[in-house]
Amino acid sequence: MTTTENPLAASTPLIELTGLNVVLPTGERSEVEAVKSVDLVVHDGERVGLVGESGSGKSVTGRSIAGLLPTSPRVRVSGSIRIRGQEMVGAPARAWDEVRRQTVGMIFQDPLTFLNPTMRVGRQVAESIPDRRLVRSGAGGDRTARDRAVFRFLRQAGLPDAEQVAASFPHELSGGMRQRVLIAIAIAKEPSLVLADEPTTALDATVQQHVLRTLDETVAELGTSLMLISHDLAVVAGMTDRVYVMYAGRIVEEGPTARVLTEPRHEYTQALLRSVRSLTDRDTDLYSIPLALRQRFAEEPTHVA
Amino acid sequence: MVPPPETGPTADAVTEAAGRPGLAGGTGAAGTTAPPDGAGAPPPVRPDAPAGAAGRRRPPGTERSPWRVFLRKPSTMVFLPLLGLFVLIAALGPLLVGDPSATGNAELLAPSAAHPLGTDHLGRDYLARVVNGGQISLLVGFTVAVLCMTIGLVVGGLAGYHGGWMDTLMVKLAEFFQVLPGIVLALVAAALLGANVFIIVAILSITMWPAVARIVRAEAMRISQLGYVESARAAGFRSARIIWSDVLPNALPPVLVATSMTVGRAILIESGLAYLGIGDPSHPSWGALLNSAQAYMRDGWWLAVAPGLCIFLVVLAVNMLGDALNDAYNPTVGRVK
Amino acid sequence: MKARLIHYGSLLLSSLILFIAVITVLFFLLELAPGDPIQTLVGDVPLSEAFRAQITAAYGLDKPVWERYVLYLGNVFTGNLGFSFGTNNEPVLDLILSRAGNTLALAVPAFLISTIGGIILGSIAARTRKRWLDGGISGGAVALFSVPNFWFGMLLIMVFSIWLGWFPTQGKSPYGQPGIGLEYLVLPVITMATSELAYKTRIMRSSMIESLGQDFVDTARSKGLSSSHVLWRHALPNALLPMVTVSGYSLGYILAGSVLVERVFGWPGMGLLFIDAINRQNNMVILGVVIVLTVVIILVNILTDVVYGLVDPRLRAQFSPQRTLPPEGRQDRQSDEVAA
Repeated sequence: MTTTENPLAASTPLIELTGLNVVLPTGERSEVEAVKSVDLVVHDGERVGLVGESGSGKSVTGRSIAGLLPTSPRVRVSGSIRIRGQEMVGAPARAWDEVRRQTVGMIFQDPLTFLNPTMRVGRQVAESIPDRRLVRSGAGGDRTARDRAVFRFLRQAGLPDAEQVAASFPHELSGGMRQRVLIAIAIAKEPSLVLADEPTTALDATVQQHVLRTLDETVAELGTSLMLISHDLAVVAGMTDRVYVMYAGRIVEEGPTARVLTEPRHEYTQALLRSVRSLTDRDTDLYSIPLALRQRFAEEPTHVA
Repeated sequence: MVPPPETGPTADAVTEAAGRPGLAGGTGAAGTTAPPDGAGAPPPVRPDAPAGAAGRRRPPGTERSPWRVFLRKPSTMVFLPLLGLFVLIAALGPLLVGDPSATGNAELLAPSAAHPLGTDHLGRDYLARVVNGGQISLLVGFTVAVLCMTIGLVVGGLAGYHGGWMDTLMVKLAEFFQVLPGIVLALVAAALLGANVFIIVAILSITMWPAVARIVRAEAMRISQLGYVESARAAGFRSARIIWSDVLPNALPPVLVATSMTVGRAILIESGLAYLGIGDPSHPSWGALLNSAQAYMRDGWWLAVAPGLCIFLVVLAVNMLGDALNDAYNPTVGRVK
Repeated sequence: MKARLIHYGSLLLSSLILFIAVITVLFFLLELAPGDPIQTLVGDVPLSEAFRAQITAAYGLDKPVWERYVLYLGNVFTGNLGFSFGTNNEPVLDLILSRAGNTLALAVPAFLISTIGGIILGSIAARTRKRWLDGGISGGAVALFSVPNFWFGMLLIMVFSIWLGWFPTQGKSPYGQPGIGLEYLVLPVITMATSELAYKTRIMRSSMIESLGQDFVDTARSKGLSSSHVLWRHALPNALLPMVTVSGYSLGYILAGSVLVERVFGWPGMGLLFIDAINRQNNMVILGVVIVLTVVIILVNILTDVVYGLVDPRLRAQFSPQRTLPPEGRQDRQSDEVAA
């Protein structure tokens, strides 16, 4: 892998997936291998992108890092998920709770459905602040300290009217504001990794830019790692140092973002870039990846490094 | 990522159709709200599927048809024959068990070989009475269900498809019958107009059709918004034809679910009315038998057990079949959280 | 704010229209009934001339149909529900009110037990990973609402009163004593509560499963909250919203069901009054009970709507005209019925 040029490679990675397989049920008797022998590493302070079209398995990969796969007995995970070196496949629910409370903060796609409609925003953010952080910062666990922390995180997420926002219900906010609330929830635990799953897909273009900038700044301020999952190459290009390309459950290409986007090595990445360019360039015909090529990508277990 | 729940629009419609049971607090209707069988009854885990191993998958399109899923369900395999048995007994039984009103045996005989269900307070063979009583109960249940389905299809289809005042009228009518529980209206009407079986069937149908109509209405509203229906309309197809060919097939599964629930509710309400003495005294239904049994709970417990058990089993069967049908049409595997 | 006023205004108006519609139907049922209108109105009993004159005047029986209709409506709205043909010719309203307490003594506990029990059992069934537990609760619920509840009451009497001798079989108190004996209350309340309990358990189970499947539950889980916190603080409040509506309707059904339960247990409430009136064709009492029941149901529906507006912040803050809410969009039926 290309991590040899990364000075942090020697230390224990923050996240390390090795040979991860995830099988999900799709019907009464059918299932799909959503993720197939995926290897993926995120180091402290690193910004990693995970791109692929819908159904490529990128979201499932992201969710398995946060332990947020459906809890059905029919969901089967095998391989290895190491978080700070601790093996999480088969770990008890409490260990996962601890990871979600301390280490991984997740930002979801749809700002409306991912907020509880019957709970005020402030409380939803407050729930995400671990008590011990308040205690450690000398503020104690009391209510006003918690409120102050909530306002701070809301402001950090780009909501200057924090007091008012905290007192609101989600339906009273705009889509962009709701997405910022989700960011506040994710950073309120001061996590080691912010895991953003299509964080701006549901927003319109201008709002998308603002929210992305906020996410960029917040991650920089907190010095946390970022894993950005997106179908949008442009989003990933501006935000990440290193990128994984996923197709049909496999990682087909991995490398520094600039390199992968300028000289892709895998045919699928090339095709994907070509189809994106055909959308933006006026003088190119619209290109979509031909079916024959798709079938070949799906069957080949290629893993170009 | 997480597979989307495979519930079509019918899932909502079915639940919406739940209406309310008309009898003595809450029977039947809840069946239609058959929730996604999430943790409830997940499909059996195949023993040959090793945990953690990559399993085989079934390409889309080879899922079994809902009807076959329905017919293969364990509850269907139990309750469909059971219901069939009751229908058969009601149809042919009276020919086999003799005259239900013949007296001459000893009174209040406990069940024995000669009288499998004992005799009643007038020395009549109780088996003959129970078998004959089933005719009325089943007849009322199924007739009301068929009438409700017919009214529901026509009214719901027109209201949902055309909207406007037709829709408003239907919603208001449905609301009216929601306010007054069916059994109360039936009691008043039977008391004032007479208590024969036709009046009871008519009243029950009049009070219970909205459950079906709501489903058809929802489906028709959805369908009439779709592009291809617009184009069919633009091409000059008549709305009756569009309703028939497009609305009906989609609405049918939830309508059948609601109809099966209607059978159960109608039987329960009829038995309640008969228990209160509203009904044809010369053809006592199961409820009427329970009315007479009330006085002999101490000395003839079997008089109260058999008819009630029959009502219970028939209603249970139609409710379970409705549930199974609903599950078959709305599989909900992806919802498991 | 204005939207809310409009909403409640139209709610009141449609309730009033519904009420008038019910009265109208009752009036025409009376008109349709064969025979002498006075006899129909008061029932098939010998009449004194004085009573005949009183009825004729009160209901305008010598006037044309529409005048009779207006008179009837006027009587109902002024609380004059007619007179019983019993010995004292008691006003029907007094008669009903004297029985209402006994019915409420059954209906209120049955309502509370079925609502609270339904919420608890439904939540357990939705949440548990133990298939036998969910299967047991769900199967029990299907079975219980397939049971004719008057028969269920008879079974309870046969087992617990006649066989085991734990409870009395009939009535509300020892003979000749006023008030209600606690041991007399147990079986009828259980009978009344069971089918509603079954219904609410089912509704709650599906509502809870749906709520647990919502995206915001993922957000709550992503905070590392314990699964019980996620269940009680996040999933439950949202799952309860449909229960508000269901509970509102259930009170009406419990009251209607009291007709059967009171007959089984010889409980002298409104239901038994109703049945006695039907058996003796005491028609003004019959209509009176239906009118009172209608009023109660309509009032409860209005109350339900108000409560719903209070518990759902989306309605509390700004009134949206349609009631389809993301977590329980399937509750459309109630929006049709209540909001319209």
